[in-house]
Amino acid sequence: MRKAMISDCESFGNVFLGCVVLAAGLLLSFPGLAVTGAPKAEASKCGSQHMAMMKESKGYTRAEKKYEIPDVKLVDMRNNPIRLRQMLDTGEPVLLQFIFATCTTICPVLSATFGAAQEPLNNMGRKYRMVSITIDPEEDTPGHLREYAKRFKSGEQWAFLTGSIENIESVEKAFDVYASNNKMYHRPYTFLRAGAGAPWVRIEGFMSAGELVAEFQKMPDSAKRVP
Amino acid sequence: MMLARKITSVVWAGFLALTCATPLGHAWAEEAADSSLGGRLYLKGILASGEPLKGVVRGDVMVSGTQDIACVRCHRRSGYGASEGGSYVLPISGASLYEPREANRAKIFNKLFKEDQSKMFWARMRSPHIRPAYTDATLSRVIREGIDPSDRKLVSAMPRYDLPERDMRNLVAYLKTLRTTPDPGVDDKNIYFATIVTSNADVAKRKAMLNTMDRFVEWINLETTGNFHNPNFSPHYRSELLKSARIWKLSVWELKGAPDTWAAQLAEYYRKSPVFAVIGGLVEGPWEPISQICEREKLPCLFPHTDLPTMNAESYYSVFFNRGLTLEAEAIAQFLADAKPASRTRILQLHQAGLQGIVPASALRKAMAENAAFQIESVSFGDASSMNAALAHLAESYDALVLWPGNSTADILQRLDQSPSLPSRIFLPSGAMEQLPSGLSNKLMSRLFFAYPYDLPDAHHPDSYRTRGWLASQKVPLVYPQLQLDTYYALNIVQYGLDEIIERFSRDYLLENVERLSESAMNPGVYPRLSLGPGQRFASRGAYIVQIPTGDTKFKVVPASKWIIP
Repeated sequence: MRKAMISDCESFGNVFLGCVVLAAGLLLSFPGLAVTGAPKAEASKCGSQHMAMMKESKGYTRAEKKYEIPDVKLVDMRNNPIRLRQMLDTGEPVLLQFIFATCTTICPVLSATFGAAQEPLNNMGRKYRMVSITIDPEEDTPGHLREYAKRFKSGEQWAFLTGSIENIESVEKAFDVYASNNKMYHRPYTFLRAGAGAPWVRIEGFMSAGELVAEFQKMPDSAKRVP
Repeated sequence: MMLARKITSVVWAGFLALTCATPLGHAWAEEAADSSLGGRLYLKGILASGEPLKGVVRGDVMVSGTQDIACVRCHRRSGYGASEGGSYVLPISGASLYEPREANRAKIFNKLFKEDQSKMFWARMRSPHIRPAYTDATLSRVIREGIDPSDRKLVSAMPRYDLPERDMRNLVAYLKTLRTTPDPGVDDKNIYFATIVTSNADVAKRKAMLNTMDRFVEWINLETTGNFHNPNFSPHYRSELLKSARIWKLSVWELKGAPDTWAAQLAEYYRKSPVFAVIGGLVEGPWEPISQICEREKLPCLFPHTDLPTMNAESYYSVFFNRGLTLEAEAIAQFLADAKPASRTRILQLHQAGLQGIVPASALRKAMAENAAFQIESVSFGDASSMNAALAHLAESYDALVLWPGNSTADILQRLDQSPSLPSRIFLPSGAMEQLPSGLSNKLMSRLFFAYPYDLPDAHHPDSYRTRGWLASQKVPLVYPQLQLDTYYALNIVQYGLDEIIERFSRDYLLENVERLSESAMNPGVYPRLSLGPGQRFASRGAYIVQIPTGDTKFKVVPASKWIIP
């Protein structure tokens, strides 16, 4: 429902939005067409109002999926052999991320979020397991993973896993995160699951610790119909 | 009245004097910004106070210097940023920040069209993030609050840093020093490279390697010259990239004499002709004296052929295919340990007295130090008589023999063939394979195991065909496949790297892109897998243990192990 009086900012916003949609439409139809003269965003109160609106939006996407966990043996950071299905299908809720120890742009932030969420999750009194699996297993030996884990003050409930390249790739493919060309094109994924029968919540992007805890609390319990 | 005025002026004078001496007045007399402290903040995440840098992500995720979130981690030494993990990390050199950002396809060309990123990244690169130039004030704001001068929010992955004022000024001063001039080794027309060969390297190998390099440089220059002659023919926006194209000039830096003279020889070569990078190379001896110039001049030294790479963790500018003889020793150690022998295993290790013997011998000892199941006896030999003395140890029975013969492989194996007592397994480095003398008995051959840090003969490498095809088309005979294919990889990755950096002629930026591209560059099939990442310097990490089958067989090596990553 539109208000009777539209402020200057709103009308500007509508026009601007229209331009963006049009430009996006053109770009999607003609790949490779780069826009060279876009409308300049005015660094004025209109811009800040627009930004304020955007600040409230989520910084990540969320979907629910079912994945078949391959029955592979991995290795944790203390060199213990781990059967992945056994670790993930305990009945406890699981939070899972894919990282690698020399990653600079996104993994420190992803792991820092796990690290920051430990305290609120612990305070909830529910048992849970955090798992970080490397996508660079040849480089990330258990020793390298130990060094990585130390940076984020990981508790006992947080496992860091590596393994053979074939096994790691099969896990990546199972969770549909495999960046086939080059690990450097991996993306910031976090997975959550309430328990063995429940669907996985697939999150792409960055969350605050509060947002991660909120997603944890509203994980779907049962295996409802998921595509 | 006069007295009142006098008192007032005295009071004012006193007030002014007081404020100038107090913190209030201190703000007027600012400390000069210290760009070297700013550099320490940028590179190490340490504030001027000595405390670690702290930041916040999305309001409640604290990140600190101990987690390694100094600016350099994402924005890199070059300051040109990166595009990893679906995140476009922006360039933050002074020039990039203090100019308005315009939509310039050429600057972000590969991110637009070549990288295998997500749809969000694709859309992000096509949303023109035009912004006015930063000022010192708006730069402070963006670091603290994450809002840029066009009032846009920075992405969540960029922490917000509540820097003390002094650190902010230092950091800004440092950023203004980044990338003010192009790096040496490139001018308006040419880009200069060198390759390093030692005079003791095999002459035929050197010839094969240089032949490969010369043909590649000739071929790439032909293409570039052709593009210059047709500037308006612009498939794939080529005309926009033409001004960053350069003719390659390759010099050969030959090192004579003992390794401890190499650093001085290199310094002289570099003084005469500073190059943008060192590509490939054939070094019979330790890389360590050579790495000194790579570090000192911040010169990328990319993928030389050496079995004694620098193992120093501080070394940044040298990049290798693998860890050479150290890797081979560790692979042998792991192979022996994996067999989990039932009883105590006695190992005799005979090694040549030079570095080619000492380095792997001590690596093997170190790898087995914690393993109580193994007892290792190490004996060094130099000349023929000490070799005999060393071999005499075999009279005591050992379960395995590990040999690091250097260039004495033929000699020592021939003597072993005459020896009455032979352990059931004899381990050798891969370099020994091409020195095997003819006429060794099957009895000896069947006991030989080689560390083999290469892929097996029947492995599938689709890009191997492309590389071999190119060499054939250029009439480059493939006399030493491993060396020549490795050399091609090194040249190719520099070519890809230059395509990435376009006109940002920064050696650091080239090296950062080599790190990123290694995994998706054409692997011509010498190693199972080549990949690097930020800070990684050895692109292949493992080895097989193989044997040479006797008789008329399909393959020249057969594996005795899986791929071992020690």
